[in-house]
Amino acid sequence: MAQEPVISARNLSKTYRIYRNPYNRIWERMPWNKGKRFHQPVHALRDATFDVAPGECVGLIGTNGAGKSTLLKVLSGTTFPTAGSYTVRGRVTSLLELGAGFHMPFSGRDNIFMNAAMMGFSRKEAQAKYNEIVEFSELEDFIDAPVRTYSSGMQARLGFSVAVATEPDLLIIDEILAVGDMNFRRKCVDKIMDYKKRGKSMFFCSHSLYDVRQMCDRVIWLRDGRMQLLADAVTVTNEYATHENKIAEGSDEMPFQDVAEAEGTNNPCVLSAHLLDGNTLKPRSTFAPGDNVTVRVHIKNTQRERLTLAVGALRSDGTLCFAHSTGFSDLVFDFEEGHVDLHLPNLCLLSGEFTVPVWLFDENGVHRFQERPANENLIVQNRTKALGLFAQEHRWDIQPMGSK
Amino acid sequence: MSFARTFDAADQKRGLFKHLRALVEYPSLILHNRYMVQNFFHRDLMGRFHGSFLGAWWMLIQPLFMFAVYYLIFGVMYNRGGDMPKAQYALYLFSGVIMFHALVEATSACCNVVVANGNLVKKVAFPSEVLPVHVGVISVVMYLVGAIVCIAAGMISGVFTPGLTILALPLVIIVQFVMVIGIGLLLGNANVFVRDVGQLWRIFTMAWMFLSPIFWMPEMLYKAMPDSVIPGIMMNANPAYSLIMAQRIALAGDSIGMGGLWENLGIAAAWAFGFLLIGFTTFVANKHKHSDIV
Repeated sequence: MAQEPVISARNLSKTYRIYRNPYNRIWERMPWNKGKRFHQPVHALRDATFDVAPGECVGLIGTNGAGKSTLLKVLSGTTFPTAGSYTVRGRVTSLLELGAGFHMPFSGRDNIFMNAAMMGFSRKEAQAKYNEIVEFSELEDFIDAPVRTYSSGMQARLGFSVAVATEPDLLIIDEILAVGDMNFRRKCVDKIMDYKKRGKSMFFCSHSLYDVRQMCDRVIWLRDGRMQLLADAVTVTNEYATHENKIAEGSDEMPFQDVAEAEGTNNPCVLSAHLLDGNTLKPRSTFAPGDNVTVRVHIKNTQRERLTLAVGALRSDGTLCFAHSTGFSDLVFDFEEGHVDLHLPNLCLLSGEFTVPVWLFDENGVHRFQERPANENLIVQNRTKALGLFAQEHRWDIQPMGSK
Repeated sequence: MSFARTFDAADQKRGLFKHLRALVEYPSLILHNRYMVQNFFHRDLMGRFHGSFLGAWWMLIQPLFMFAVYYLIFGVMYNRGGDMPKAQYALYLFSGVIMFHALVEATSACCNVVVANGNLVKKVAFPSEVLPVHVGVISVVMYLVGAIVCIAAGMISGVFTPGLTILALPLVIIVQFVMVIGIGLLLGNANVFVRDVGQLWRIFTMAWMFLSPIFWMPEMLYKAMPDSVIPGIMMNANPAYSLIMAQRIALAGDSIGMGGLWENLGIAAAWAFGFLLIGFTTFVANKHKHSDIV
């Protein structure tokens, strides 16, 4: 039997109507107001089309307000699309918000039964699951206390425990694993991985690119309600990280204030600084870890001063990842015009977009003639699962106790 | 896979026929979700009586108190009982109060049934048309508590002993239940869009009380307005009229009931199912908008 997709979404769109006051909603419907608009449309989701196969885990990333929660709500059936259609096959459980569906004055026990009932359980099924739920949530001591006295972590635990106990074919999660302590988080992840192994599907949204990359097979990147990209987890998280870093940088002030200062005078200056492929020496700005990179800096030095040059890489958050100076290698140059190449074989940097600052110093490295970024930014796209700033060379060695 | 849920936005425009089919499936939907209804019922009662000294006794005290006031005013001060003996009139009054009170309490609660459960409607996918059902159950329970007291009082005072007509009581209760759910769905849905509905309903029920045969009797109206159409309108255009009369006959036969049992029951059932038809279709046609508005 060909397996049908668990979710098939076709052109899903959701437009919220924002009315200035609730009566405009009625007023707008009046026959004499035909054709007039009393609302502000907000396109939360536009034309989302995708399938989720059984056993697949699909992640959802995007900035705040990109439509992630709307999509999850639509798929879990709490809100409905204004256009398009979808089909969801199998039992669906969604964990959309912390404490969703909990009745605060009631005890944890009552809420478990209440929640189970809402998910379509009979009394017998609920009672059969009760112990498992309580045990998983580790809330035995508080189960008869009102839920309003629970901490947010405890509420999240209770919610998650009930949701997974329903043995759904599809689990929809909206960023709630962020709460709960380390131990519980691990239990959740174990449970989720166990689900995946048993061929159940997941659809989840997170701001943690790490979680998304680790758990998801495919990722959807939503941007302004549109599907920007749907591909394997590594590709999408890379693209997303690159894009988001660019935005973050654009909002910052340029760190190099004195770019123009030195130009046009007789002082030595940098004419251009370009990123080149280390092998072919052709212009290139997107690299992967392990590639060879060359930074070529053209310098004009009419006075034939004795100069040193420094080149670095600056991450968008201001971290200086490395900086090398000719001065450190006791190299001083005094040509009138020419270029200096910095070769970076086997690039160690991992994902991100880096500014490449170039400094022109006097021979002692004290007086700074000029400081400017290279003409291109260095973009590194990591296709491995390694995390962090740079690829540390490494080797694993596992030794169980007692073995030689 | 056993079960698939499909939603097509293009399908939402047409659909009266679809809603009618859903109405036919409504009883089985309720039955299927009976555990949920039971939980709501439990939660509602707990919430209502939790922490009060008298607890569930309030279900009885409220109508008893209403009855006492009515009796004092209409039975003793104004002597509206006409030629009826005092005890008989008292029971006439009481039997009217219990049904009307159950009806009003429930329909008022239904106004808020979607709005008050907004937390659930927004965040949990469940068939929200089941929401008024537990209110209907509470209404029936409230009525039954009153009915038992009424029968006991009738037997002790010797005004009546329940006859064969008591067998029609389950039918009365079904009609009451359907009417509550019908009106409840109608109001609950309307109140999502226009919050004034709840307030208007409060005012309306006040008028409704005086327009219903709780302390007056049909012949008093004819006597007061011999050639007017008003008595006819008050009796035929009032959904509560036939229901209150039918349950009186069911409880006590001819002693406090007037008119035919089946005739009244039939009219009440017509009202009830009419409300259910309108209430259910409007609710189901609009429920996909609830979560965005609540």
